Amino acid sequence: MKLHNPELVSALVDGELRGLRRWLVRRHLARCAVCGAEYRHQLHVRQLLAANPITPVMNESADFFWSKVRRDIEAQAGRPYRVRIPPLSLSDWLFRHQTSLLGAAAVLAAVLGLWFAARMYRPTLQTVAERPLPATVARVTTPLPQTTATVFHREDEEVTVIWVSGLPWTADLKQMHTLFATIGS
Amino acid sequence: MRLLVFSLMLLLTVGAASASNVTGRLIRADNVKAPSDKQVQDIAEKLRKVFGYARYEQIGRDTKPFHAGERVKLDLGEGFTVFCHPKGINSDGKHEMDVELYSGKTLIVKPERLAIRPGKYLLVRGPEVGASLFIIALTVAP
Repeated sequence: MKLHNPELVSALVDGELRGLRRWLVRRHLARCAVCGAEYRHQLHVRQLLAANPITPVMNESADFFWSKVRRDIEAQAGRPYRVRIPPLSLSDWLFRHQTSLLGAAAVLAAVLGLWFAARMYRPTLQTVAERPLPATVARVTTPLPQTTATVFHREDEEVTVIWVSGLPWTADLKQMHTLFATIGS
Repeated sequence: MRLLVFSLMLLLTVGAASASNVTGRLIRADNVKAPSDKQVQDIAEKLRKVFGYARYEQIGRDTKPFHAGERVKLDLGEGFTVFCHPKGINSDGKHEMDVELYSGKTLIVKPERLAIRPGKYLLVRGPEVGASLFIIALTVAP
């Protein structure tokens, strides 16, 4: 440690030194005439400053200043004062209304989910009553050989058809009568 | 006496009202480029959709009243005859009957327990003769 150090002398005057450093600096001041004189000078200055504090000079007296403040306050008493709210940024607005936004999003998701579910699982329309058949046949007999008869219904035309297959083709009616007479006998 | 006459008239009226008419039609279908017969205009479109031919012509027609238990013969022409054996009206309001379709004396087809709704048609695809097809249409008047 450099003892010829004006900063140490100033620190000692300010009471900032402790312990071993304070003892060393004090011992040096007792032996060093220069540092000792410096110490005594700084101490004298400090004592002068403590004895003569700086007083702030105001243009008006303290009573006048505070009375003026009080008068301004009383003048504005009862007058509505509008505090301007600064505009919120998007992130601040979202943070402030996060509960409402979450609720709205939940409701929207529920509505959309119900709508999609209703569309996907729409029950097929079923007729209340089955359309009555125009005619029904319990059994169809075709005595002629190699002939068959099939019954089917045409819902769109409301007809019942007995489709006889296997009847022999003939060129004209006379041949048909002859043929059927032969088959029937 | 007056009561007797009135009762007889009432019976006849009721009897007439309960009687139904069965109509048989013999129709020839072909693809001749000519308009269909006007007599089959009410059924031509149905026939066209079922059988596919372009032209339809009514060859014969016969209508007879029938009662349950009475055998009815319909002469449709060209040797085709239809016999109907009405059995009555079932719970669905259909007329039940046995039907026999003859060509001459030859039985072609015999649908049994045919139950036909009044006003509706039963079509029987008959024989093919030349380029034509014979169709028998049966209906019961409502």
